[in-house]
Amino acid sequence: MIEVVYVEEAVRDHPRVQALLSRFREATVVSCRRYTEVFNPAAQNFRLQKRRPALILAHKHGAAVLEAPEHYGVGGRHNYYFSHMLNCVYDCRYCFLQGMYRSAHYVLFVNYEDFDQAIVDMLDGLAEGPAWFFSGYDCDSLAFEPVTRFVAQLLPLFEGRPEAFLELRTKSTQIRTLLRREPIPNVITAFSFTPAAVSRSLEHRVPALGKRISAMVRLQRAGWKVGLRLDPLIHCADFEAQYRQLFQQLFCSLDPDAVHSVSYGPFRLPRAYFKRMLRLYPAEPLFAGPLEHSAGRVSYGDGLEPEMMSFCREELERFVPAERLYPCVAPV
Amino acid sequence: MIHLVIALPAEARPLITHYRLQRRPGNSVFPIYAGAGIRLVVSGPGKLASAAAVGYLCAIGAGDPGGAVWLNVGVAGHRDHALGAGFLVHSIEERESGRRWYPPRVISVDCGSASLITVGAPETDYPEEGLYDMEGAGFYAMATRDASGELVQCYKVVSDNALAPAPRVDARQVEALIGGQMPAITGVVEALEALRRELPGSEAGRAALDGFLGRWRFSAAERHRLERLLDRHAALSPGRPLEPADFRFCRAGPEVLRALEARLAGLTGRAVEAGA
Repeated sequence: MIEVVYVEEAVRDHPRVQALLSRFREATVVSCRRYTEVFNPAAQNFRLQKRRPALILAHKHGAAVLEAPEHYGVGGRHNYYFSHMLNCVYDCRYCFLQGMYRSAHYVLFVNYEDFDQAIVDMLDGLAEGPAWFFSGYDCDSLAFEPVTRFVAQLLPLFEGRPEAFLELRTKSTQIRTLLRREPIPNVITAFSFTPAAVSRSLEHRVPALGKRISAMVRLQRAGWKVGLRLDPLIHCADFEAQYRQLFQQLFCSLDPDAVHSVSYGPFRLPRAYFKRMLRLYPAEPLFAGPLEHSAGRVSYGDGLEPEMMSFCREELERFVPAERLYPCVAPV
Repeated sequence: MIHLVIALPAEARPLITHYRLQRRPGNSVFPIYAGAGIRLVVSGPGKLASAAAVGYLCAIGAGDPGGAVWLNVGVAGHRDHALGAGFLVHSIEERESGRRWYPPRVISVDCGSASLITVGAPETDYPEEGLYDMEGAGFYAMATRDASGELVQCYKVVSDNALAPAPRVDARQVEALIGGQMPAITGVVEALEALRRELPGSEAGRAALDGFLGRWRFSAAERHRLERLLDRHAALSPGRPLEPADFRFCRAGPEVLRALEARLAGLTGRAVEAGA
């Protein structure tokens, strides 16, 4: 439930803003000059704001599409990402957004067409493809879709550009936008998972594991390509049994041969983000775990991390051929 | 700790009465009234006075455990709103500089909200939609140096409007206007205090730390490390707080830290308990 909507003065009359405001009639509407006035001040507490995040409607200035970080991808040569939204409706304790942003408010950039144009420009500037475009870096790609309708307007672009791939990354079950239309072969919906017990402990407000697997199965049966994202891998009591069970649950329900890609990577954070997250949640067991600090990053370290990665790889190879497995091990 | 920052004695009186606050003895820069968990300062009018009063309360409350919430209560003008109407402020503009702040509204309270424009002299024309006061910007800018914005709020009661402009308001009316909003004001105070308690750094944790600090000597860096280790232990063994007596064989602070680290090493494998 959104109780406060901040609106940049410049987009106040934008039809999308008007439509969103009519959806949240009961909300207090507050005018601002730039979203950064609300979103960026230092004296804010992400944890407290997560109780009642506001919605900020803004115009995206500058580059709408950016090069993805190194090793972020599933085998593509050119990798880009874009964020029509900042922050996520879920509250996962391991999420780097808690360390990156001061505010937990949702920022929605309403100039969707500028994202479309930036993607087209990027594609037109490439000598050869294919190019991958990742949504869901700063937000969940589908969780807020019933409100934003961003993906619905984006899909036709990719339908007409088969040389470009779109990844929608999600923990949600909001798949109606996709099911309403014919599948598009170059659109991959990638679902993120941790074992059920870890999810219950750390992924607050996220739909139950079973519901997400069901959503994935429905998409797969409808002909949409789906992917699995096991990033971050979380160390926990009985790690191997937990992850083995998760893989069983996933591949018993899904058609493994039709899973587009599986990526997996250990929990890791820039040290500055980790410090902020620890200040927000000093009593969080995840942050008290066997983590090591080195070279500006916090991770499970040289001992545990390779063990976790190789265990998962071996287990995953029982279901999926190696060429569809993508480890995410790059520095953060 | 709840810090109330009030410009005028007439605005302060209903709060002093309601919370049964007592004036602190002695000559202080600003009059301070205090009671159980509450301090109230009477700043005098104007944003500079308000900011200075916040700074003064910060200095007084420097040793308070658990941080503070800050509430500025006062009267304000508005072109159209009825006299006596109360509003929690959702944006503050300092007219002189054009700077704006947006106090995040995380608490759930049953009152309206409005924008606030802080001016240097009483406004009688009310040219824009918004409340007019003389303190809000100074208060908010300063108080957010001490506390997160969610815990810093302004509550304004309309004292004048286009039909009843500012010069006609006297002290008795101001007192009555604030007094009429006490249920809403106390609701805001309670909600803010409840929100503050959700922040980490509980008084129980502080007591545990004090126990160690009272028994051994720690340098500033060691103290910081001790705090982190105690936090980690609390995360890994909730409900089983460490006592200084558990380390009675340690002779010095660094030895305590090593023993604590060794104890934690045996617990980290349980970091995220399955089914927790």
